[in-house]
Amino acid sequence: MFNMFKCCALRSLIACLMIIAGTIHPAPVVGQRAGKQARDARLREQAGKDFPLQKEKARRYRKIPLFEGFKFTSPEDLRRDSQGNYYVVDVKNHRICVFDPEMRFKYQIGRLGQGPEDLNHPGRSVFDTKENLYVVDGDNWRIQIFDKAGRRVGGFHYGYHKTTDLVVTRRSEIYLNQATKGHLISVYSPEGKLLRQFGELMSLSRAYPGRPNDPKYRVPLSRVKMTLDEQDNLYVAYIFVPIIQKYDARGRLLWERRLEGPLADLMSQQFWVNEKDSLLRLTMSIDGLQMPVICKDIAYDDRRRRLFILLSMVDIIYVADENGRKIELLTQSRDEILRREPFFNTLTISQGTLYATAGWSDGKCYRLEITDANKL
Amino acid sequence: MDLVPGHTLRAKPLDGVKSERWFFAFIVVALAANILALVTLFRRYDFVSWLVPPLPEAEHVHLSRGERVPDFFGTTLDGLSWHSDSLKGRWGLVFYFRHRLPTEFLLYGDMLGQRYESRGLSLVGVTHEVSDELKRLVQMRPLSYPILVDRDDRVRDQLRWQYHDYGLVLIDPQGGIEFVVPRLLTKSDLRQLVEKYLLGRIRYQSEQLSIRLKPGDVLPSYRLMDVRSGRNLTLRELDLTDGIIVFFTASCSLYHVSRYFDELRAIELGRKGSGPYHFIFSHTFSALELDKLAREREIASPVYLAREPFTLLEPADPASATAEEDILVLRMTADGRVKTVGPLSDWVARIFRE
Repeated sequence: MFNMFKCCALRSLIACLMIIAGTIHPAPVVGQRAGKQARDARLREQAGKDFPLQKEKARRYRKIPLFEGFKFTSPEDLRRDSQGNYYVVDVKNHRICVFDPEMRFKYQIGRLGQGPEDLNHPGRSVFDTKENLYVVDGDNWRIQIFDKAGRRVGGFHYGYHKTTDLVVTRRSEIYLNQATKGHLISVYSPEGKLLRQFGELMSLSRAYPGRPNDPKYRVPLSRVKMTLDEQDNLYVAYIFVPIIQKYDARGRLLWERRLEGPLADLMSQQFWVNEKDSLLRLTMSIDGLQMPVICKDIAYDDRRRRLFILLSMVDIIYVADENGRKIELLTQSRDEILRREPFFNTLTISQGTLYATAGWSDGKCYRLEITDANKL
Repeated sequence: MDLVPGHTLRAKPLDGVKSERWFFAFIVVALAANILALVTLFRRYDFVSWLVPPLPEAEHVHLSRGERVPDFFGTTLDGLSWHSDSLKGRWGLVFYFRHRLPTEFLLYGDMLGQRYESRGLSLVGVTHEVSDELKRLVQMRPLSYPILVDRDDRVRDQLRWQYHDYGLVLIDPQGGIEFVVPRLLTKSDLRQLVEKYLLGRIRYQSEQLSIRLKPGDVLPSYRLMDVRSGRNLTLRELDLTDGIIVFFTASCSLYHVSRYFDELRAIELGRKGSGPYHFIFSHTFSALELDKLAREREIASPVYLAREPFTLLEPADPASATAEEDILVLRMTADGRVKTVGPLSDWVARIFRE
């Protein structure tokens, strides 16, 4: 009896010690403000010395401010219709501002409220093939559908499950990233009927090999940005994981790739570095877990057949082919990086031109001009 | 072990008291390690949420737009009884905070309440407890709207904010709900909401503000008049060293001014080591009325009337004023430059925190 006790207690003690030892690992970076100056100084230092960009091929891009004289509070998305009109989601003013091709203000869609035509912190917007504008009406938990004149032509309540992005296929199916519903993507009809779900949630061990498979990270890590190609294949970029994936129109995973290169490796390492030492300055909490951002947005250019992924680190754009293989990086000039120019939060492509919004910093929209863009 | 016929199995006797002590010590260490491991596991994995899933924010849990607001009543901070009937025929903005004091929201709400009172806006706050912080705030800066004390959470439950620490509902004059959220709004959102329903339009350019002054700027030599003596002078002639300018824009009503004078006097009396105060009023005010008001409220600091629009602080045409707030505070540096510029409620909130 005594031996049995001793044996059990000993095994239990060893197991406990192993668990304790195994669970001590650095938490992901939290908070944005602490140590900011130190991090900035380090970023400047590294940019001058051994910043990974020095080791990688990077093409320059230049940003041209748009809508001069018009003050947005927080633009978070920019789309263009077939006539060249601009549609900018002005989040904190709860509206979509419409500009003509000469960038003159035409009218606005929506205003703060909970009525049929109102918006409350609108997020992502996208056009369907009939040029109806679909908008995530974030704090009203619904999708609003407007025609080009700004009249509401439909919409539905998608339940109390946050979505980080929205795309609409050629068949007018609406894809939402509602990770709390158990799958990566939920597919809705324009009437709001849940048609199907697909995509596995991301696990911590898959996202960051070597880490324990902690279930509390499953939903937060499964937040993605999405874009479609002309065959309705879906590309997703994980916000907190350096991984991109491609799904076909039926929701089958075609490939999954990690971002390549020294910069991507550095970002993966920095994800777990204590916040004071991290170079990843942007952190975000979507599901209650504050984590450093890896990818801010993804856009597909169907003319060049290229994927453009906006990384969180100094607004570098990662360019990949349609199979997810890295081609090169796009970056601003080193002077602009060192000047801490406003950072972008969204990236869109319209008729081969890249647009970015800086809603979290200077509240402006930009057109991005890439050096020798034809050679991309 | 081979059993020999006739041999009986017997437990080996313990080796005296010493072995027992070791045994118990070992058990205690093992138990402690178990407890430590369990604590570590519980801290690492959220077992509770596995077993008890979080409450779904189902639609029926909250009130929603279009519903009628239920009757509610309570006792205010002053001990007076209050009933939601008093909101009938008016736009009611009811907000709830459980513990943490939303100081800036309370002060900004007060400013909006006064600005739109004549258009039918009534504010009502609801709080679970009367904290010392709240008492001090109300003592320092009496609010123009009632705050109900909801210790038994009856009002909170009626407004269905059981699972939240904050809530806000806008009720139309017929008692229908126009807007409801289980949180408080930012200043900008609150202003937009009130303007939408009470003004009929939202002034979007407010973020540009009329303020075009930046820290480090030198104030232009605007023309002024000393309200008490009637003497004309310029802004440059004032001793602005380490001083504070309180600027009342043209959007301010005289009633509004009189209320703020009480507060400013309290701040004036209680100031610690700060430089002189200068109260400057937009050129649209009347010198006679200001003089009367300053005498009534026993304001010791100089009171000036602008003789021309302060174009760096407000537009020439008061009708186009888009300032977030009506009263601005400019703190000056030792060399007479602008140190900070911002709305009065921010400044009051900062002093309150200090």
